[in-house]
Parts: sequence; C-alpha cells; structure tokens
Amino acid sequence: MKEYLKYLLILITLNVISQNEKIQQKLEKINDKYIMKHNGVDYDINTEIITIKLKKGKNISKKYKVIRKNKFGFIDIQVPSNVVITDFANSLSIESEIDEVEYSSVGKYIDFFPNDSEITLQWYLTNINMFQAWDFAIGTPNITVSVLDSGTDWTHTDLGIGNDIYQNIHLNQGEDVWSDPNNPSTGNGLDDDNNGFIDDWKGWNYANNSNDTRTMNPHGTQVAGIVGAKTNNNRGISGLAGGNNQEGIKILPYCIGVIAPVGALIDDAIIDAVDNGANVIQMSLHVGPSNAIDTAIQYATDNDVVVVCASGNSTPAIAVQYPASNNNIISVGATDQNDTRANFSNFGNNLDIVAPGVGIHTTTLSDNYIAVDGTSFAAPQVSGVAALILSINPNLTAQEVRNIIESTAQKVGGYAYATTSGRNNGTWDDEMGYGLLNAHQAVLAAQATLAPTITIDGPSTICHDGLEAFTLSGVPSGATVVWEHSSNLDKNIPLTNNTQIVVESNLSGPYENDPFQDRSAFVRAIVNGQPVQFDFWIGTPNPEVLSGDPDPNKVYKISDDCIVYFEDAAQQLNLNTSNFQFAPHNIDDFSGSTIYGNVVPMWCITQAPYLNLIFEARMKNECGWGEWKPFTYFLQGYDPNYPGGYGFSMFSPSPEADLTVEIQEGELVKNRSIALEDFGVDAKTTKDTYSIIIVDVYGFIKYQKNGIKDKKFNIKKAQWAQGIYYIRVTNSKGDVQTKGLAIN
Amino acid sequence: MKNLMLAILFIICMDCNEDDSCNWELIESAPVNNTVNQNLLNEVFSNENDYFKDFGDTLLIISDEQELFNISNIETDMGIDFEKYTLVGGKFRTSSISNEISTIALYKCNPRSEYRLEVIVKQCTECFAAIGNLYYWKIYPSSIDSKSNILLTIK
Repeated sequence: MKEYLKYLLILITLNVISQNEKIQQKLEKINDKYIMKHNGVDYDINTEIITIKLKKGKNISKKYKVIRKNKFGFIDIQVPSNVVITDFANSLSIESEIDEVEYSSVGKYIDFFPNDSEITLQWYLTNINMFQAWDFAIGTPNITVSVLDSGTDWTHTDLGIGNDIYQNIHLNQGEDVWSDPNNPSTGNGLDDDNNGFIDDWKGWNYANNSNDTRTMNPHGTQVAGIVGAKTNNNRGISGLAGGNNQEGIKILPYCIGVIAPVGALIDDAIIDAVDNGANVIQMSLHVGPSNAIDTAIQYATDNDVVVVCASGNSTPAIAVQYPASNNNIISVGATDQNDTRANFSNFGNNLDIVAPGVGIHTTTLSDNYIAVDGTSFAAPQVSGVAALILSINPNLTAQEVRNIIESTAQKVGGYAYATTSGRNNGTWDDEMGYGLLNAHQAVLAAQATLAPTITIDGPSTICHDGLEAFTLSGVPSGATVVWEHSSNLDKNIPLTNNTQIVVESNLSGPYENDPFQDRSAFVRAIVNGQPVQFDFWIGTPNPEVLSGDPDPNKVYKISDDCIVYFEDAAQQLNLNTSNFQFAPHNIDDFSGSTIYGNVVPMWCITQAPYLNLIFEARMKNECGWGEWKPFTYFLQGYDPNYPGGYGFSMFSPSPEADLTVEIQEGELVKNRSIALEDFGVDAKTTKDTYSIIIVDVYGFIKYQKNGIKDKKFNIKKAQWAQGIYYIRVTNSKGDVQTKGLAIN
Repeated sequence: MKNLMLAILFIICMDCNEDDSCNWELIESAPVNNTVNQNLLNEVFSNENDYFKDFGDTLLIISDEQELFNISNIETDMGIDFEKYTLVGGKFRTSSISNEISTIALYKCNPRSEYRLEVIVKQCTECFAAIGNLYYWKIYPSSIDSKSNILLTIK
C-alpha cells in the first residue's frame, strides 16, 4: 500500500511539473533569497508580486489581489503573506484560466561607462561617483557654462567641430555664422545682435578685443574639457556634462587674460555671460578684491546664474582667495587620489566644497590631452555637476543648485566635519568644506526636485460585475493619501490602502437597459491635499454625435448633406463596423445609412419648413453591446423646388449685439421667370420680398418691417429685455415661418 | 672631455634661513652673448622638453655638450663654450602658472665649496589657479662643475 501511495505522489508531482511549463523562469534559493540567473547575472526575486497572463476570454478569480493590469493582459497580483512565492506560483500554474506565470525580478541600474579612449586616466570620475550620475543625467544643450579663463580652443575635436556632427561650444544664435566655422575672420564684420561685439559667434576674447578666444595658454581649454568635452564619442576624455555622443551642455568661452587673468575684464565678462544666457559661470582664478566684480557676481546671482570659482593654490596653503571668497560663489578646493586635501589647496572659512585636483586628465592645446594639477581643475567638476543638475531641472534657482551640491557632498578623508554656524547644508570642515563633490547624489537630489508624477493606473472600462483595482504610483514616502470615487462605485474597503483602491460598480439593475444612466466614473486620490483623478467608464459606452452637423442653426434644403459624425462618449473606442451599429427611423425625412467608421452620411429629403432626423446607434466593447441610444434632430428646412420656398436663420453673438437675420431662397424664387406667373408670382421682380415682425411673449411688437429685399439684415435689440421673443417672416405669397428667440 | 655626469638636486628650500656660518659671495653669471642660442635654450628648459616630464623640482649642472645633448636630444650647437662656462638650469613647481621668475642669483658659501642658487619668484596677484612649473637657466664660470653642491632656494 505504501508503495502505491509513493507512486501516486510521484504522479501528482509529475502533473505539477507539467503545469509548470507555464512558468518559464527557474529560481534558486540562496541564503533565504530567491535568485534568477540570466546571462551570468543573479537577479533578486521580488517575493511580494507575481505576474500572470490569463487565457483569452477568462476572468481572474476574485480570490487574488490584483495590483495592476496592462493592456496586453498581464496582471500583477499580490503574493499572500506567509506563502512561499514558488508555492504560490505553482498553485497559479494549475489554474485552468491562467496561461502564463512569471516571477518579478529586482533590476539593477547599469552604470554608464563611456567609450572615450582616455577615460581610464580620469581617475577623478570614480571618486565623485560620476559613472552612477551619468545614469540619470549627461548634460543637455539648453544649459550653458561660461568659462571665464585664458581662452578656449574650440578647434579641439573633443570640444568643437571634429569628426562628429556636433559640438559642445555655445554658438551665439543672434550673430551671423562664420562662413568658415573654424576661421573667426570669416564673419560678416557686423554686430548682428547689437551686443557690442562684432562676429562673436563663439564667445569673446576681452584680452585682445577679438572674436577669437583661442590663445597660447592652454589653461582655459583644460578647464573647459573637464566640464564639457564630448562624452562617449569614442575619443579622448569624458566631460562631466558632455552629452552621450550627442550635444551636451554648451561651453561659452570668454578670454579674460592670457598669461594671467585681468581683474578689470572679469566683471564685464560675468555680466556678458549672464546676458548671453549662461546658466553657470566657471572661474579658476584669483585676483584682488573688487567692487566691480562683486557687483557683477551679485548680478549673476540675482539672475539665478550659478557662479563657481577655485579656492586658489598656495604652498603652504592660505585662506580662500578672491573672488572664491565672495559668499555668492561656490568656492572649490582640491583633493588628491586619497580624498584628502591637496597640500596646495587653499582653505578656511570661505571654502564650500572640494573636488579632485591632482593629476586631472583633460583636453589641452594642439588637439591633445594632459594631466594637470590645481584647484583650477577641481572647480570645473563642480561647474559640470551644477550643469547636470540644471539639465535635470532648469527651473532650480542658483541657491537651490548650491544647496544640492553642498548637502550631497561626501564626508571623506577622516576630517572633523561638524555642525557650523552659518553652514546650513550639513556638517562642514575648514579644509574640506562640506566635503567631496558627489555627482551621483547631486543628480538624484535634482531629480527629487521635479514635481512628482503621481498617477493612477487602472482599466479604462469596467463591466457591471467584478472588482477592479486602481493603483497609485509616484507617491512621496510619508504622504497622506485619501481616496474618493464617483457615486456609481462602491469601494471594497478591505483592499484599500495608500497606493491602491478596489472598486465595483453599484449601478442598479441591468445597466445595459438604461443608456442614459451616468456611467462615467472616477477614482480620485488626494495626495498631500492635491487631487489626482482617473476617469473610466462602466459598461459599454454610449455613442454621441459630434458637434457641427446636424446643425439646428442651419436651414436645410433637399439633398443637403446631414452627415452625422459619431464618437464614443467615453473616448475609448475607434468606431468601426464591428463595434458600432446605426439604425435610421422616419426615413421619409432623410436617406442614406451606410456606416463608414464613425461617419454616417445622410441626405435630407424633407419638405419645408421642418425635417426630423430620428435614428439610433449603439456600441460594443468587452462588456458586450450597449443599448440602442435614440437621437432626434428637429431641423429647419425648405424646398427650393417649390415656388416661394424659403427659410431664414438668425445669429446674435451676444445679448448686446445686433440680431442678424438671413433669408435663404429656393432656386425658383431667385430665378423668377414669366412661366412662374402661373403660380401668381410677380414677374417684374427678380427677388422675393419679405415682411418680418418680432413680438414678445405678451404679444407686444418689438420690431416690424415690410418689403424687405435684402436677404441679410441686422436688427438692433440692445435695449430689449431678457426673455423669449417670436419672429415671424412672411414672403410675398404669404408663406409664414416662425421661430423663437431667447435673449439671455 | 669632462666626465659625463648630471647633478640632479632635489634639495629645494623655500624661504630658507641662510647659513650663518657662510660668508656668501655672489657669483656673477656670464654675459649671454650673441653666440648663445637663447631661443633653443629656452626650448630645452620648458615643458615642451619631455626630459623634465618625469622629474619634480630639478637643478641640473651641465658641463659639456654631451650632457646638454642628453637632456635635450638636440644636436645643434647652442653656442656655450663649456671650456669656460657651466650651464645651470632646471625647473620647479609653482602655485600658479601665472607666476614668473624675477631674478636668479648664485651665491658661494665661503670658505666651503657650496653654493646656493636663489630664484626669486614674482608672485602673481591676478592668477589662474593651476599648479605650474617654472623653468630657468643661467651660464656660470666653469669653476662650478657637476660635483658641486648647489642648494636651490625659491623665494
């Protein structure tokens, strides 16, 4: 007997295994964690969610908690607590209505590693967590970093025009382009944008007052490369914000001195950089204190331009030099490969942050590369990260960018970072400022400043029976969530929480029999007081007629088009012959009922003065065919083939404006002939004449005129009281047409 | 021919106190006449010369053509009469590429045969914040040879 039971168990097990063909993934359990291996990578399994796909036409059992569905039929369901995920998957796989069962893995972000040939020499990228930062931002061309320096060689192929089809040099759009983009003397010789500089297409050289910022001093080219050398272009180095083999941020070069910076030029260059759209101003220099420079820096700050400057070098180190010591500037000191302060890096009360500044590999003259030392090369790393932050959220203020950079710094090097008066962005140390630049955390913080995209996801249509889940995503942690829903829904209380609501329709009776019942529904989450709403439809949507035609303000004559355009009231279905049906009635008044998508062309055949369009239409969706919805249009018409046939229309754009009356005549009225005398029409006139009378509801005459020949005329009604009026128009044969008029 | 020998001194003294036991004598440098190819010497003592790439602060005493060739790889005669003169040159690190050398003076510590090469740097007041190297050279009477002990002092 035991042997029999043993074989029975084996058979049951084999049956389960065959059901597990529905589960394609193989899991391993390692140290209480479920792992899925793929291409040599171990992925952790999310043990709270499992994804299934139903067989066609099947519904999911109510015993499962649905988290979300997508339009391709995949449904995420909650793994019940205290149930092993593999057991749950196996139980799902034996459900007849389920076609596929899939585990959900916890993914891994892929660090972006550019293909630039000398990137391995850029050790500093690792220390400031640049590779992780590039997963989120790599620089966008709407952000400009102005480099105030010894000039920038924009012919360097890792900055300007090279073999690539793009460049990271700012081009002044207000200035005429140079006919040879590498020759500044080929401009048109004009100050096209009236900014005081002729042909300043690629920055300006204040030192020699020319439009060529290339000089013999490589310093500015070295600084510019760190910020914006083309990234992932298979050449040279990776700039911090140099784009991903396409335009990154733009470098706007200003030469403010060749051998040494000239203090008298710096203030002007700062102001011009601001006026020319710079988002960040990068300086790696120091000069004597200057009110003119302070004023220019204040101007930059007032315009939300981030200003970054090197703290300066001295051996032994001294206090942070000017202008880095200006409180509106982010002052940057230098560290070495061990994340300790470089011995030459000036520090003290005015130091804000540090970045690597020893052996910094970057671009230099002659289309070459070099390793250089100094706080000069730490500052552009901060400028580059500031540009990345603004690439993510260009609406941040300069102070907000500064706060992000400072508050995310790494507390490295074993220094005594401490809470310090006047330093509100975290602990601070006089040798390291807030610490080492952290590009990764900075861009993450920038992302967090974007308005959270809170959305509700769920089905666009629910049928009359069954529970449906709607899921809220993008909710900030700790947020308060209050759910609301339309009155035609009931909330399923036990399944409601901060991120999900489960509802069902409470429409009474077979809703299909009542096409006028309000079946538009919504669920709404109030997140921290802000509403987020998701609209959907209960059951089969109703057809509606788009505005325009049939038009009650139009006078129709026989064979005029009365084309009817239908649409789905729930805006979900593209109408076609399989999901839309049309049924005409009172076919004496119109003809034509062929359906072309959502269009039913019809032609009026009625006699004057009225015609009725009466028809029905219905739609079908996953809930089945809806009820026929009737449509009735009582339109104005006339028969132009009948002698004396006419109609009139009215238009008044506002209560104060004149009332415009326009009379439409039938063809035989317009073209009187002697033969028409048989009908008693005055053969001497070529157009009919009309009389018009307007009375109010009490019968008092508001307007009267006889012998009207104009077919379009205005009636002043500005002083008329609000109310209902009647207009009666009579032609020369005594045919009368009457309409109502409301003045609001 | 003198023995080929380069004296590379790494003894750098910034703002050092002078040795009180010395009676310092200023050694006049030789006048640089038209026969000396100054442009070429400026090129030898510059960051374009890869010889210096692997060295930090450096002071070289060059006593013959071969030694000069060894550091420059230039065969052109630079016009220095090494029978009468010795070339002293090198480089040192400075806090800004905008700094400049103001004066170079060589002092002999009498009665000892020791020297002090004093380089006075004109510190920039308007500076780029890049660490730079300053290169220098001077021609002195050949009483200084490669065995001499020269202290480089930067002020």
